[in-house]
Amino acid sequence: MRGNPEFIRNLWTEISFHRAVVMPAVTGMLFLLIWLINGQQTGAATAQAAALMFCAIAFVWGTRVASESVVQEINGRTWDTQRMSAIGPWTMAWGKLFGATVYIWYGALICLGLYWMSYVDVIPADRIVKLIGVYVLCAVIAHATGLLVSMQAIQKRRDFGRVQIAFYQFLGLAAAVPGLYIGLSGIADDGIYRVLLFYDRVYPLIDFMLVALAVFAAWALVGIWRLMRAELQMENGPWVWLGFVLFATGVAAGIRLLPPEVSAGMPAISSKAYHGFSMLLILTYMIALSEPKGPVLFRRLRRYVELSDWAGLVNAVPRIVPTLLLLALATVGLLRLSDARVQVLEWPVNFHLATVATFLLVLRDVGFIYLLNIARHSPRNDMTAFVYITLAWTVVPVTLSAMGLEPLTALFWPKWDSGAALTIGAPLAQVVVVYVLFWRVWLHKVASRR
Amino acid sequence: MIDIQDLVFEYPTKRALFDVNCTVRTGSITALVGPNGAGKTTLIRCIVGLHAPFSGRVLFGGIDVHEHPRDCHRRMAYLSDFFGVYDQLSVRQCLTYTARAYDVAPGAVETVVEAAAARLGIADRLHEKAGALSRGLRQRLAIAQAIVHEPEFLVLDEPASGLDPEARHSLSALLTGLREAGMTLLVSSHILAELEGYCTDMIIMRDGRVIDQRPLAADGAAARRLRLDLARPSARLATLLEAREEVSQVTVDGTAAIFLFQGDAAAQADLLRALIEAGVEVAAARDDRENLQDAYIAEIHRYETGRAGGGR
Repeated sequence: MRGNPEFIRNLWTEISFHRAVVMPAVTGMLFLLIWLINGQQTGAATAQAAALMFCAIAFVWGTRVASESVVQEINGRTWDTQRMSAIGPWTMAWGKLFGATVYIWYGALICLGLYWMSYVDVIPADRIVKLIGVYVLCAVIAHATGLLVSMQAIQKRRDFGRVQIAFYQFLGLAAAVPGLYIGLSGIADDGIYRVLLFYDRVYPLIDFMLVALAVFAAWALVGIWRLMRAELQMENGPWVWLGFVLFATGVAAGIRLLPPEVSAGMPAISSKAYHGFSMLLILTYMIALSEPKGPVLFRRLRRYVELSDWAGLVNAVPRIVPTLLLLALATVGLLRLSDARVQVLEWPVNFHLATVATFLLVLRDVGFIYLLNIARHSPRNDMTAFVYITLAWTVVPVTLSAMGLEPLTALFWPKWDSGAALTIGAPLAQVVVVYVLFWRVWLHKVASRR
Repeated sequence: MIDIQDLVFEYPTKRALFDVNCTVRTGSITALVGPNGAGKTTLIRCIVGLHAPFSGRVLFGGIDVHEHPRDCHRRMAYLSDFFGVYDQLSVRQCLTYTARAYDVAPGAVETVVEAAAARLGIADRLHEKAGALSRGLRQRLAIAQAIVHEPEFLVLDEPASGLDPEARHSLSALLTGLREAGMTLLVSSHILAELEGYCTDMIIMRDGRVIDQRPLAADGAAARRLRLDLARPSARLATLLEAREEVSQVTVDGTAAIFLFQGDAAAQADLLRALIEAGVEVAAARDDRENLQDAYIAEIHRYETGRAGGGR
């Protein structure tokens, strides 16, 4: 019985004779019902029914199962045994991802078979294969993201309920659904292949999406592998995360959302730099909110410095530090590649000031997240910070604006049309306040303990 | 086998271990004792590499557990106080999975599974679902899983909690058997009476510190505590004992004498013969295991007294 022991264990757990019979029976009966309603004919209607069953099984159910695969081990108190086994992180990663969902894939493949059967006489086989590819890759991304997020969460907490699992499931679905939507729209109803401009070259949208989804699924699996390494007490350097950041930023920079003839009339802002900068903003918030942080981490960093253990310091340093450095570089790049003042429709925009203000507001938010995490011990710190930051970017400035206190919105939004004093001064003052508070808490909670 | 050096562990809100230094002898069953919150479980989890310490290190046969966790995990096993088993799997599947997870060669899996099941007395339950087993049998299954790959070092955290007296007795016999088979064991518990039957060494923890470490019963050539019971008190007994090379730390109290004796059975027979020939009325001679409870209480008292006096 060679092979991955974790995958085989999941096979034993997930597949029983009864379950093996129930899945084709239920999906077959549902499909039969649709076929009968549809005048005993296969075609678009039955294909959509099969696709819907696939989505219900692979996306909704499968993402749930993947999200709770490690969490269930923790709740069932079997995780320590697994962590102490000789199973390597890579074997454990794919054993869990595809083992926990093996029954899901059993059902999903039946649905895809019915999908193929419905469409095979209607549209060309290569189109069906590409559409099936989009479905399968998106499902893998949903499962992998659900597992990835749950594994990131176990770095910070060890108690999980239904709410947490539902949240990880939601994030898994959120990661996959846009890809599914864009991928499936790659072929129009009339069979025309839509195209995409990537680094000024034209690609069929569905082909581009198939490659992009495959690569992002691979990145998600790499992410699970890295977190599995951390769980198995192996050291992880920041390089894989930085590699992902650079890759995602590069992909975002290459995508042109507006056709060239339209963007030619747009202000002189580098599309590539702006998209790359935007992707970095998203990744900065992602890592700031998700990675483990707290007084122990900072005391550990201080110890590495005291021991001049630079390798240890690089391995342990929060990923937010190099990410912020990259964001700072991207900010400089965006400033250099764009005009200081541009006109958007009838509004003059001070683009350089607004870009710097955006960077400062992100710096404030990151400082706030870390401040909250070293100031108090709670598994809800990041969620609390997320709520405050969301309010600061939405409800508060809108309310201020509605109250006629427009200048005060500079505290929450990058101003596009004001002078440097207000546009830069307001966020800069907040950055100073947040980091002074951080320093004071540092002295009290971190530096005071030897 | 285990050498713990200057180990410090911190939780976000408190330091749980303070510069812990101690060792676990190869071939011993070491009792890790201390009150709730002393840091026993944290220390155990650092020893087996499940917690990364803030500083310090744990050496397992000379290998740093936290630098090479996977190399060490192949050769050790840990059973937590709150363990879980896969309820949906049969006992055989549970053991087979664990054997495969510990890299047991495929051809040897069935043999080691059956050997572990036989050792734990669950060979007749191999086909039963783990979820259908009683608490005691689940405990046996969990231990069988822990030892299925024949680890050199086995760590058990509160292994007897929730077991009935009969199961505790079986556990005691099992642990002694594992030690005799060459395993080194570290057992944490705060039920001292149950440890007394089989432990050879003791580590006492309090407030995140190791306050004492000592052998309870020495092996082989090392000194043993012997107790003599006399029919009548003897004024010469102390002098006679202290005159012998293999005897030290003599305490005589009426008709009883306790001392450290370094020698084999022949040397012990020779000593008894000499005492009887000298007119000492020896009624009984036996190994005197230090009472674990007494030792523990005495050490805790000494620690508390030192702390109250600022000697911490």
